[in-house]
Amino acid sequence: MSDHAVNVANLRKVFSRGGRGHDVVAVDDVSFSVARGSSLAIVGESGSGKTTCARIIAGLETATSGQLEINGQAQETGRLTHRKRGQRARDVQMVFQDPRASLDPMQTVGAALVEVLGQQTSLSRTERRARALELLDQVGLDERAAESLPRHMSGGQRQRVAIARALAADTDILILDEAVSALDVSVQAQVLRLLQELREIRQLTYVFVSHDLGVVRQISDMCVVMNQGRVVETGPTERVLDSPAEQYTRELISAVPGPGWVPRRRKVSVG
Amino acid sequence: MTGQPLLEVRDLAVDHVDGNHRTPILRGLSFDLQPAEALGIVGESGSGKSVTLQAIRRTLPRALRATGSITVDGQDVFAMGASRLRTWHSSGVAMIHQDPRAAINPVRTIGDFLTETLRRRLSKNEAVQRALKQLRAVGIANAESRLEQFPHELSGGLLQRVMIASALLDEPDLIMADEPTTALDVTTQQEVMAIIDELRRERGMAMILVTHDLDLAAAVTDRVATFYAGSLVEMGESNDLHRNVLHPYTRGLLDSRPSVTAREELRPIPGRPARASEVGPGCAFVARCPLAISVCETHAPPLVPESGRFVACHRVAEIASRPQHETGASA
Repeated sequence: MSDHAVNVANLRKVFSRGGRGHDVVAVDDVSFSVARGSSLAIVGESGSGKTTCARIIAGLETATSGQLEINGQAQETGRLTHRKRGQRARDVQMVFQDPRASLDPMQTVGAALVEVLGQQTSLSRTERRARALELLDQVGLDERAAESLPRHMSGGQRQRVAIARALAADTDILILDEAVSALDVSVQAQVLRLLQELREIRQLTYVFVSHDLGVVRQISDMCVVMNQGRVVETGPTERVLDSPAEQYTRELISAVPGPGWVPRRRKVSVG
Repeated sequence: MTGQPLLEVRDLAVDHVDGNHRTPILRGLSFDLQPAEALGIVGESGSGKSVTLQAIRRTLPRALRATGSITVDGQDVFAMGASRLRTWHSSGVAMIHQDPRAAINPVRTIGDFLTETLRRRLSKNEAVQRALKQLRAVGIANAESRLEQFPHELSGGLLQRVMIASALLDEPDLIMADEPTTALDVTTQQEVMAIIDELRRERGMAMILVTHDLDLAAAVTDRVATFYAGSLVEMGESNDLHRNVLHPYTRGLLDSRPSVTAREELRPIPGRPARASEVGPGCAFVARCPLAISVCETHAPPLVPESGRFVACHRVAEIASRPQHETGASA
């Protein structure tokens, strides 16, 4: 039995453009593993393939080739049947950048959680109700939130609901895809704190997809730097950010504004 | 060393008007901008930073009403006629938006877009030459072939550079940039910000940069203003930001942002950003402020000078007399 929650080997994803131009290799021979109870960040810019990797792990995207193991079990990376998708959802839950896209606008937050609990657990009706309130409490929301519609909540509250919903299935692997990127900075810090606390209390494993190196430093133990579908560098987050081995990683780090930062033009302009 | 300001904003307020119902969005804003000076406006959502730019350019949506006064180069902006306003928009003040795709006609080429207004007074060839020169100035290689391309053929970063080239075509006195790099990757952001900064300094243009990123603002401006719930709460020199920040909200913003260089415990500000309409008689920040006392609930603090900055906080004198604690690490 492996002590890895997630293990990805030689993952490859090609998006075919059906004769309109070249196929796009979104993920190219990517391998990494995530130790149980740890937090791994996949870092990169747009087009790096970081989100595609995350979606393949969650079963929302097929892989062209490569292997995926979750909790030591080999997983299919092709198109999943309805039943298989349900099984995957019990192992892995995903939290997206925009929670509005994954919350039903007509359903109260409480009802949404009760529904997920109905699908993913064998709890009775009253138990589900109580569990929904418990989950909301864990993400820092009170009973009033249960009666609210998503549109009447702030962005930070909605993201807390999305996290509660991901936890409802009792999974211990969360894939967080730019989950704090759209939040105001003061609220982002609250949600990051919440994620850290939840990880400790519930022994969760995170795969944290982000373009934000400050957030990555805060939330992850290990990180994988990706560029144009390939892994550029992998290692403990502190080591990668403090002494990057690759030029690309150095460029990413030096582009982040901080105290005393001055923007510099990288390329020589031609013309 | 202050002469005639380029821009004078006095008691600018913006309300949302619905029948007889008025909802405040921006409250009592006053500041000056000198020629060639760059001001950063920083705040979270609902703080009124974008509305400020719209109010100054008189491009507010119909339901929003501005009061107060805005003077540009001695001219009253609210009194400008339609044709004077058009001239000012096309040659006096340039706007760079967050999403270049929303601000460009997708079915016309980059060349058409760039030469459109120039063609009113230049020959086709002269207009094309001007456009090429601008594209090169923003670091775009193969400028000739770019002119033939359509917006969808360009990446976000390249398109934002085209927008900057377009904004600077008529050498405006003032650039307004509303989160110009928020939609871009961080390496592209650095490139685009460097270009804006370089061209602005070279050509002596003033700038108002709206952003949620304090460090980004501080890097390319002379002064930074912090907005909260439709009010200006702190303004001061950009190079002073990390050493001498005084308002508890600005301090909280700096402490909330996770650092790339060190893992520190985050100290989030509790609660969520307030809107101007939710603010009572007291300080806008009172509900989230760790230093709030009873007067903060009942009286709105005025913006007062303190240690070289302007700060709206009842406790600013106490804060300023305390040594800046460990959080104010400077570069």
